[in-house]
Amino acid sequence: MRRPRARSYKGLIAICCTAWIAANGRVSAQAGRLVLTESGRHVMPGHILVRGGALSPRGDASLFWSGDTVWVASTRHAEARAVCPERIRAPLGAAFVSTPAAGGAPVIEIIDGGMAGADEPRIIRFSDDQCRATAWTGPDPSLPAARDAAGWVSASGTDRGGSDGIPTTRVSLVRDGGTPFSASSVDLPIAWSDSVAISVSSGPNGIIVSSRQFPFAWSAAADGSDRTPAGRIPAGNETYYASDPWIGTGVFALDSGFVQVLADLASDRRHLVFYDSSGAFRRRRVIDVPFGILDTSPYRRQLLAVRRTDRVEILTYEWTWQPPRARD
Amino acid sequence: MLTKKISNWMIAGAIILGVAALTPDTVQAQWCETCDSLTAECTSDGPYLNDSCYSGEWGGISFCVSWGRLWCDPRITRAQSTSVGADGALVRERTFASVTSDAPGTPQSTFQHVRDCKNRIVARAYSADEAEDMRRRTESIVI
Repeated sequence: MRRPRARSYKGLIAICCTAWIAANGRVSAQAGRLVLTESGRHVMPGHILVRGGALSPRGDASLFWSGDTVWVASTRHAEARAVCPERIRAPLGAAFVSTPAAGGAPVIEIIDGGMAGADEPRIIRFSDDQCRATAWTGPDPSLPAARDAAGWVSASGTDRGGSDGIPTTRVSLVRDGGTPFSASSVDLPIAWSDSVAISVSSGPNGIIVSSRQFPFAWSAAADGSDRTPAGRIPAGNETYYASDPWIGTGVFALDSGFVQVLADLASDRRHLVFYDSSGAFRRRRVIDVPFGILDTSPYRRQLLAVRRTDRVEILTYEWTWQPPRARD
Repeated sequence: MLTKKISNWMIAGAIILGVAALTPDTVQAQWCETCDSLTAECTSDGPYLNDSCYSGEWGGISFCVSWGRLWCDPRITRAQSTSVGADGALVRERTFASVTSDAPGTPQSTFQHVRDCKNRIVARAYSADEAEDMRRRTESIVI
């Protein structure tokens, strides 16, 4: 009489083990689906235009900025507060430099372009509740920039012409002191127009450069490493993306693979595109919500995003990998 | 016989869909050509002034918006796709949204968006129900 019950317990144990393995990431990105689950939000007034954001290394705070203000928000507090409001004029980028022991104030760096024609671009460093400004020593501060552990890296492009009708842009990555970021250059299959044709983000192994126009090509440039995954939307999708004004808003690293957001400027449609760790296109998810990714923390499996409806929300997501369905 | 009928209907449907897909560009162009008349309606005591239309100035440029109508300005081109926020929407969208939030008649509007000549949304408003539905749909996302 007891034998069937023993079998059902075994089944239950097997299901629990599978769930535990999936929840703890033993399911790889190549095999599974990426599941983002909202874990926190900061609500901001609807008129704010968020231009970028960053997660703190400890995952307990986030930064985000508009055209004239930088905010920092703690996961423990509902309200976000402006960083150095008396100093900031035109933030072009911001990042956590380090976070001290638990409970301490974060150290934040902001590239501030200043008032056009009135101020020199500067780095504003927020530490111990103090704001200190130093001169920006890098290239044109309006170039897309991201910060890694060693400092700011700016990206600019040069039109290399093209063979077989395929244009090529060579992207140069330069540290704020003027030294090249890496020995190898990054080539993207796009025609060079201006600095805003590309986006940059920082990943655990370097800087990711991405094109904002079809084929939304991207490349991860590693500092001192030859491993440079690269990806793009497969050929054959050009008609679809060209028919409406689509734009790429960046590529971000996951613990296994990369995620990219494409936005249709003619609607609320967004495509969340997943690439595997080699850069191969795998799949995309369509959502009809004004949504964008600001930053990721692969080690903590955290993702910072913005959603704009009747208000602006800065969202924190945690991610897990889901086992593939039979038809995947 | 039935298969042939279905096939014919499918071909007819494809033609209709194809024509529908091609139509917006033509409509856009016509709207752009007649944009001046819309502006005149907005800036004078036009019939839409107290309905769902609003005029003003943004960045030194006079503009006219009307909820559910196209706002045309040949100076907005695809090359200006640079001014896009992290949420993938045009920068000026927020400017217009905040400006037009006080526009007379806006609360009664049921079709709350404004597009430019490239069919891009430059202003958008959502009802509380729409916004809540969007939040619910993005609480969990599977890619």
